[in-house]
Amino acid sequence: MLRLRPTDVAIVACLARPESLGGVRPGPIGVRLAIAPDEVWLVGRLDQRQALMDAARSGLAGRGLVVDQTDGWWVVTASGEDRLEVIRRLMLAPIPAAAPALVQGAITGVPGKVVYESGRLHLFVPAPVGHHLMERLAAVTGDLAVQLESPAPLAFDTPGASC
Amino acid sequence: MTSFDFEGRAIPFEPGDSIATALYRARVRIFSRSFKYHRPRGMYCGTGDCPNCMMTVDGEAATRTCVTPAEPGQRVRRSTGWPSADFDFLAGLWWLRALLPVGFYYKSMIKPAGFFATVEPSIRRLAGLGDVDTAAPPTDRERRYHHPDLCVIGAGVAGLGAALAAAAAGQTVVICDEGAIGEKLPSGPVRDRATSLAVSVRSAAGITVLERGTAFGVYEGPLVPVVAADALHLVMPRRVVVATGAMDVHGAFAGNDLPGVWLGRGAALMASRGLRPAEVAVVAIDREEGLEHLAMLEAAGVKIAAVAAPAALAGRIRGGARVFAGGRIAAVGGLKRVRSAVIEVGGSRHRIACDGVVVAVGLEPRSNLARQAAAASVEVAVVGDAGRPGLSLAEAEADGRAAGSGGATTTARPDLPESPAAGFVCLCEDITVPDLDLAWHEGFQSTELLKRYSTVSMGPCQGGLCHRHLQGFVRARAPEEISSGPTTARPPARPVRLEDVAAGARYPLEYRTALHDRHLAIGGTMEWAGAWKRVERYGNVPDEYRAVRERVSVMDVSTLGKYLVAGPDATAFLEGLYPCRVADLRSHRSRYTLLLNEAGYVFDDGLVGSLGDGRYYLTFTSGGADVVESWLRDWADTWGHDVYLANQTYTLGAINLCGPKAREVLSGLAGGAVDAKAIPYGGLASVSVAGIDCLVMRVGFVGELSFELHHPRSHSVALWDALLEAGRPFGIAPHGLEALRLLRLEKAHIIVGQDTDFDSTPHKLGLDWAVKMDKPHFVGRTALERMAAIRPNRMLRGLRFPEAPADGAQLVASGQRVGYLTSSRFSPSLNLGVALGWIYDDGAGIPETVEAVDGSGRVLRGTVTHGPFYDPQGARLRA
Repeated sequence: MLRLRPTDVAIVACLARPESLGGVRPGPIGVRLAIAPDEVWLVGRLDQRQALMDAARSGLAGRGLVVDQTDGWWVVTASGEDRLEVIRRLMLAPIPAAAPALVQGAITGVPGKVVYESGRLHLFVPAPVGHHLMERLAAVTGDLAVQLESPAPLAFDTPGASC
Repeated sequence: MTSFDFEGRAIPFEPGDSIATALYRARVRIFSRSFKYHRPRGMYCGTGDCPNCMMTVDGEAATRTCVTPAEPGQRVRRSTGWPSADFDFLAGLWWLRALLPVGFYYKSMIKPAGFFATVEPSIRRLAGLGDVDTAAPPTDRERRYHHPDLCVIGAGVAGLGAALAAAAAGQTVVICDEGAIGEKLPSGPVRDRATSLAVSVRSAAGITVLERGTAFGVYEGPLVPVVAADALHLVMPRRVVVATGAMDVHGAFAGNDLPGVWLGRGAALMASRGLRPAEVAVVAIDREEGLEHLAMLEAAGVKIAAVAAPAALAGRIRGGARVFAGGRIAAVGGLKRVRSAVIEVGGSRHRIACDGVVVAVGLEPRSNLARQAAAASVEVAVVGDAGRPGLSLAEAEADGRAAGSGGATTTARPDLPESPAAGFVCLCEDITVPDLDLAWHEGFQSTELLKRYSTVSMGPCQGGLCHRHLQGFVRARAPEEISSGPTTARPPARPVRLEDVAAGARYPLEYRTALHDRHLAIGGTMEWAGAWKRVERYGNVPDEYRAVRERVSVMDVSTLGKYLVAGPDATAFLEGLYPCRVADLRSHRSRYTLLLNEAGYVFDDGLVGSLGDGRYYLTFTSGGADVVESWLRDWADTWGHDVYLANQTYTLGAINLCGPKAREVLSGLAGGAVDAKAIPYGGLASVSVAGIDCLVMRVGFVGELSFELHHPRSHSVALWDALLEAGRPFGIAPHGLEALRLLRLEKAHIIVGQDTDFDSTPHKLGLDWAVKMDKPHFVGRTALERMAAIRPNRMLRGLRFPEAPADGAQLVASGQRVGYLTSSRFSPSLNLGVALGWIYDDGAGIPETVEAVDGSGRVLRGTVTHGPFYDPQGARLRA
């Protein structure tokens, strides 16, 4: 069984020198994703967008740039026992051994990110190709029992986690 | 009994039959005609290693029928032969072979000039392995990605042993085999052991089995691509074990390509299925396994007329066959099939009547993948017969298990044969020993040169049968390793369809703005603009044009590249990047800028705007965003600047509201002042429009009052709808790319990539004003300084015509070609054709008048101009 659900996510990007990013934490309202040495994302529920922005600015203390990138990404959450088949069929990068984890790489040919949790994974692709991801998911999971769910807010197993 | 169609005949088949065995049972003996000489070819190897049994199956050319299972309803036909493979007129080419020597296409048919081009299509039709069905719809083959600890190529005893040993050690394994496990093995202890191991492998945790999965290469990584029926499997293991086994050595003697000549294992495979490879056979063996072949042939009812065997084995051959100890097959007689065989022993030759010859004299490792790995510097373990041909069953399994556990393995360098004396060296490409002799005589004196000149080893078997003979031939004449060494093995090791290699990658990736569905709903025709889909038109381009010039219009420009730049060094960074000045940019003002590479050539353009707090907002062309991001980051890293770069191309949408009534529409929706004082031309301001926070930029690409509204992408639809609603009383209508092309052309605004070439400098484009050479440094400055001393040989200029020539029309002056048009349209506002074009200057200066000659032969006289055609003073866009 594979369950797929478009997910509403707030994404706040923090750009700064690596040494300035250490204090950027989401607290209990989101998770921290280390995108690059000079870029960290705070990711959480859409209704926590402003709180994440505030947390980012507080953490950077004026030593970087905080940008709301929420609209730039399309997010799908996959759960169920066949969720990893989505990765095996669409993504070149290996599946990490433990969760939570962040893996960045091409997902069906577009630059993407996957946040792995114990029982589900969240796929991030640029918003202009969100439709492409949905089409490809439908194409490659035809042999699986797929349940397409309605869009829902993001939920993390381990709020405050960092990966 | 089920059946398949073979050239109009229903061919019954039994469970486990391949197409080839079913055809053989139905007494088909000629399976194909050879590549060049159309010689009849019969079953030969039985293991998928030779080209003889290739046919077209269900429209698929070059299918190896000996390893393709027979299935009900298949349509099978032989791919070569005219009018048929059984009776082929083109077999006469063999008798004309003196006129078709190796490399004949380099030597004959080259005069008169153009003669070869005339005959080449005929040659292509006469040669080949079948036709590709170009009308067949593509299959939706997908990809699968695997990251095991171990990839095992080949599921024989050694490969299965490797897989089990690795799994027992807790490793994950992918094992693949181009056939079903055991199907290439004749009945006996080897097949029994493989079957037993397969049961364990299939039930073991952590082992993925890809049966009928052909590994066609070993790439750096390592990466082992495997084509299977369900998908293209990309296997990226930590380690690779090659267990591809070995095949019987291809015998080199006269008549070695006749139907009725068999390789030992192939003949034994047939016999084990109750099929007689011959009624009366002459057999040549050199190892224990050969004795097993003899027994199987006899058990199938084949009369063994004679056996050539080493003395050590000769004494163990029973039955009534004549035994020639130390003998070898010297020649095979017959025209369309075997009629006799000549055994040579001790200087004497013995002709024996027969209808089949079975050759089991040596084993050749299937080394292609191992050699590919070596060429790619990928360390692999080569086990079983693939590493040391002739291992016993127990040794092969132990070898595999050792490799699976990570232990060391030993590979034996095979002994090369003597130089082949006669016969076909390369069955795939119809290369004989005399062909190699001639090529050698002509100076191609190494394995690599012979390969390239004669095409030996370049056919479907990729040297599997012929490579060792090629090396033997060269070594006998030039023993140095550099001459006689193995040729480079490259993928694919087996024929693969390009469609399979492209599996999962043929879906066009289409970037869409948030307004995509809105455009379609109101009749927008989409076209590709780089990786984006944009509106080309909504229906009537003249109407769209007039909306912009006379009233008000909107255009979706969300595809523009958009960047936020901040940080302590942001200003210094941009000053170094751009040829224009940035430091003196007032707060909330923008400037048009070119992007130059280090050679001083323009590769993009856009705007740089100051947000007044040390942050800058940059825009670029739609197709340039990704390239520009690399460019920005490269220079930031190179200079060590403390800057923060945020790509907002996908986060923000943008809508251009333009036309004489644009401000009236905007003011009805804006939550702040939008008059000329609040937002002057070139200005930017944060304004709420229809309740949506926008960065409003005064721009001028279309030559009218224009406001680019940059906003969060999630609000694009609401903003677009609000603008259309508010603009209704003013006759608003959206416009697409085709209208845009005319609008900007009337202003002589360039489109990078259409009006520019790779070596377009600002000066050649007439854009010197955009470059401040008094700046001490910017990317491209040094090159521009040097080029300033060189008179440019061409310039981009505007041109006026009574009508619009076609894009690309050639320009002629004084009877000489002097350039070409890059953009050309008819201007309704000016009632004339306007164009941009490159005009060459050979030192006499740019002509004032030219003639444009387009593809239809139409000639239009035009004048060369400089500057905008429409509203030259820019009063309308600065309103």
